[in-house]
Amino acid sequence: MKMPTVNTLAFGNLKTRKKQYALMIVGIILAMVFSSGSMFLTSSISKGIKDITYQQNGYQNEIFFGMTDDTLKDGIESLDITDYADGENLGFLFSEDETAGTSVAKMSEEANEMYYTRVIEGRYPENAGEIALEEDAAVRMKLKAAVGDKITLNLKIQSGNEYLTETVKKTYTLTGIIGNRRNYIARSTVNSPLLPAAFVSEKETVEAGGKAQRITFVKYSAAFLKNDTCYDKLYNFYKSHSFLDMGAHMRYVEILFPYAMGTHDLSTSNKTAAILSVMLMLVSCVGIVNAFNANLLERKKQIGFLRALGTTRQQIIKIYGREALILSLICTPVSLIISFFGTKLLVKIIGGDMMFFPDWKMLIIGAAFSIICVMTAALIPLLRATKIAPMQAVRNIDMTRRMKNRKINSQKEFSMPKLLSKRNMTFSKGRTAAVSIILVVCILISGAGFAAAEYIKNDTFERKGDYQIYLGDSYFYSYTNLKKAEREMGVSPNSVNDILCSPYVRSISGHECRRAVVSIDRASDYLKLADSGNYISSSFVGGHNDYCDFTKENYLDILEQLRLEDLQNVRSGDPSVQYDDNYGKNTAKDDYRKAFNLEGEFAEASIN
Amino acid sequence: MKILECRNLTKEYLSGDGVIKAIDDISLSFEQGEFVAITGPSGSGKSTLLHNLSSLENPTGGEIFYNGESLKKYNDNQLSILRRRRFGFVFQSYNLVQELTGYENILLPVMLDKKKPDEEYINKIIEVLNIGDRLSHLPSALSGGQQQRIAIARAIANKPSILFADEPTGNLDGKTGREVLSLLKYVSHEFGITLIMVTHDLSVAEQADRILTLEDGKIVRDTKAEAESK
Repeated sequence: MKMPTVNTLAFGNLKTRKKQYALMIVGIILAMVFSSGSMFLTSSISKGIKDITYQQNGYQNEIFFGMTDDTLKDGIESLDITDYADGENLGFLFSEDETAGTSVAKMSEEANEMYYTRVIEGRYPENAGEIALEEDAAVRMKLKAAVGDKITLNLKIQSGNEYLTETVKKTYTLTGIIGNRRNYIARSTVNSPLLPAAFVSEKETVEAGGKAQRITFVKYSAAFLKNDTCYDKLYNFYKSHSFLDMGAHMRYVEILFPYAMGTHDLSTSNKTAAILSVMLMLVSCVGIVNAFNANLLERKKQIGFLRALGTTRQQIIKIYGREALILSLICTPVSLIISFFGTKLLVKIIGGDMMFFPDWKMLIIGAAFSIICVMTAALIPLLRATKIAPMQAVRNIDMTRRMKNRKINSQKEFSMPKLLSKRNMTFSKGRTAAVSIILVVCILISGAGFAAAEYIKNDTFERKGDYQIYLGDSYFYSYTNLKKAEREMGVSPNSVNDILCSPYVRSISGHECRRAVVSIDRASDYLKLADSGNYISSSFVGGHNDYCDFTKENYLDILEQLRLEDLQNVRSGDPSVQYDDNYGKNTAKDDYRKAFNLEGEFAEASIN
Repeated sequence: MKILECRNLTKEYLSGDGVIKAIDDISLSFEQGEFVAITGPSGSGKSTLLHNLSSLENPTGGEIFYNGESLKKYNDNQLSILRRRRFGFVFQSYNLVQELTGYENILLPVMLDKKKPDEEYINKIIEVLNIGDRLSHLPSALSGGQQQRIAIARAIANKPSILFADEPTGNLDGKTGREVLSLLKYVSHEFGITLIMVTHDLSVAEQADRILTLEDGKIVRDTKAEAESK
């Protein structure tokens, strides 16, 4: 026969109290599913947003045009560039309208990787005379060509940072369609014609008399990006190398910095999910604390007896803590599997752009976190257990003490059911309150959960149309800069109706969250021209109009195209478009008026 | 040789009606190997005295000395270790760990002390108590008498100096009770252990070397003192 160990005691307890433990295991699994599921959900949202951002913008922090070796050397030293890759702009391609054209570049493998050049149809050019175009570039240039077709385009030959005056006709074989990149970057910066949306093979050379322009995709060190002085350093860098195309990319850096820093400003929905996760974890922990508490309370006599036998407080924690550990080891894999597939299903149900990313690191973290959660939650009842007196082994002093502390007057009427219920209520006063509190918390959290689900759906993930227009929010003005009452107002129902009545508008979402995302099935030429095709963005609002490619005519045409006059009228009287006094009231309006030399009243909501 | 001593021991409880003195200024000493029975009517304070002497409860006043050393200096951890190594307990309700077999229950104090069991000694206990065929059973499969024998074996497994027994025969029928009592006497004599036993049964008490009779928290009779005065 073997000497008993702490494990013998723990396993013995588990064996003989199967029913109680089965219930407890179910409770712990539920708690763990909540906590790890919310972790998976948060990580999926976070990773999804990051991934989409990288897909849309590439992995680089900045793109320089026309860098020399010396400039790059200086950049590596002064800007702490940790990685870079090169490409070459060979010229500017266009079909009929020059403004709808794009730069054509040959890229190194590393540059393509950093720029996230993704072939969505056909293949990447391998030989001279072949070309791949970004989806939107092909649309913009009105090319009715399929992969494998020959296309003839006008080429402005690159000559360093300039172009040669003469334009040549160039015929390429269209080998592939590339996922949109230029438009996304242009959205977050300005519409720079230098960003390539057409790609040729590395065997291609610049036309006679021309000179390729170097494109350098760079990544900065995390330390550099975290430092507040990085903007000043960048500004000085551009200033000291004035031949670099400056204005185009400062903003781009600004947008990508938070991602690079690892402190990406989680979208509101992501934050909501994170808060929800924390709350769920807390509730789960309360559940586990309660389950262990009840379990240990039932065994007061046993604990008291072990104390009488000479078990120290540390040993009590060790013995009963081992039970908690065994339970968590049983529950963790089960709950992780449930939460893994549960989250996958939830993500599928929510749909939209939200994707489930099975992150194995997150699984391990989730497992460790679940065990820590259970152990931490179990610690509170364990500490209480250590305070159980050895005398508990001999007699039930607990009941005696409670009877003494609470004066129960039962002599007046002797009704056994009444008496029993009265005493039970008196003895369980604390626990009854705890249960009520937990119930209230659960109801509140459930409510918040449903609200958040709707919010997430509305705010971020509804992208059913081919194109989107953001209304009612400035990209550069965050929610926090608006007064609370205005934030809460959202886009008015009248505005929503107006938007929905506009041609091409397929759906509208996010209006309850103040920012309306209008999905449309197709974009007019005006829209495409206006901001590289995919977005009517607010990049020209808020003091950055000097970079805008818009013309007054473009703008007025868009209004006409979308019948936005009505919307203008409605919105101009809508207080939700007023900015906070502390953050430049009506800046956007003034800037816009200045940019287009407009006179009279103007509603900026319609231009966002 | 005095192994355990109490001076002016007092234990008071707060009650709705005021303060109840369960033990009222008791001074006593116990010799090594002595078999002492504490008896008295219900509520006289005999169990309280035993619990205080065995450090299961802290006295309100007075001091307890083990081997001449005051237990007042001991913290909770030291008292636990003292109980584990020097004291053995036999309770009326056996208090066996239901999840452990008979053998595992016997070795429980040894396990808590992180020692290797003295197999020869343990086997001797098992033989003396005649429980060899019940060791692999869980307590639920044992009779009251068998459970109490296991409890006695467990109480002396760590070679204690003092064995405290609180109504050890209270839950047993007459015959089994007598058997358990004679076993207790035998093991305390065989292993030189001081046995302090609380009982309200005079026939059980009469078998002790010394009888202490309590009434209202005071010792009203001590056979040893009587013998010495004669």
